[in-house]
Parts: sequence; structure tokens; C-alpha cells
Amino acid sequence: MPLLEVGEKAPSFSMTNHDGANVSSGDFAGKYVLLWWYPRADTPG
Amino acid sequence: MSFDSPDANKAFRDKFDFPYDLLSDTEKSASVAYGAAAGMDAEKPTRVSVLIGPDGTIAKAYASVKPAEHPDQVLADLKSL
Repeated sequence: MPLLEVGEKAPSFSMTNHDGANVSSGDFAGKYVLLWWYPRADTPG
Repeated sequence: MSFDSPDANKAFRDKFDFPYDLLSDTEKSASVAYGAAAGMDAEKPTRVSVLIGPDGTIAKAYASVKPAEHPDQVLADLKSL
């Protein structure tokens, strides 16, 4: 599946962070948020 | 965000003292929905990013990310949005 494009609706998400806390898209309503993927923890970037 | 466990992400975050959340998409659903993984059978996500705007739409999509340069790139784009 190709990366979403500018103007498309961002899908809602709900995930667990590094401390075991839930983080969801609703936490960022009205704000900019960057989602940045990396292949595996402790790889550059 | 990656497919790693919260524990693996915590170790990664502690090692480099990242000031932001590292998220575990162990179900791969968000990564696939955003196009950051080829499919549910992908072993790992690709190195991409998306900037979501205040209106909940994609403001910027970065299909090619150079980790060392990416923060400055995104900050510059934020100033121009």
C-alpha cells in the first residue's frame, strides 16, 4: 500500500508507547503531529 | 513508530534520550493504513513519515526520509504551512 498523500484524511490510531501508556490520534486534535516510522528499534533514524 | 515491543522501544529511547513517544504498532494496522508497511505480512515498516495537520488530514508526506536531515526538513515545512 502506498504512503498516504497530502490532503487525505489521517486514519485514527491507538497504540502503546514506550512506557506502556496508550497514545491515540485524538490526543493530537487541532495540533500538528509527525508520525515517523523506523524499521526496528535501535537502527539509525 | 515501529513493530517493536514497548520494552524494545523504551530501551531505544533511553539509549538516545529521545524527547518524544515511541509507539508500538505490533498489530501493524496503523502502519498499513498509512502506507508505511507493504501489508500485514510485512516484517518491518519502511522509513517514511507523515505530518498530520490540525484538521486531521495529511499536511505533508515524506516517502523518502534521511534521518539526519529529517527534523530540519519538517521544521522548515512547518514554518511554511
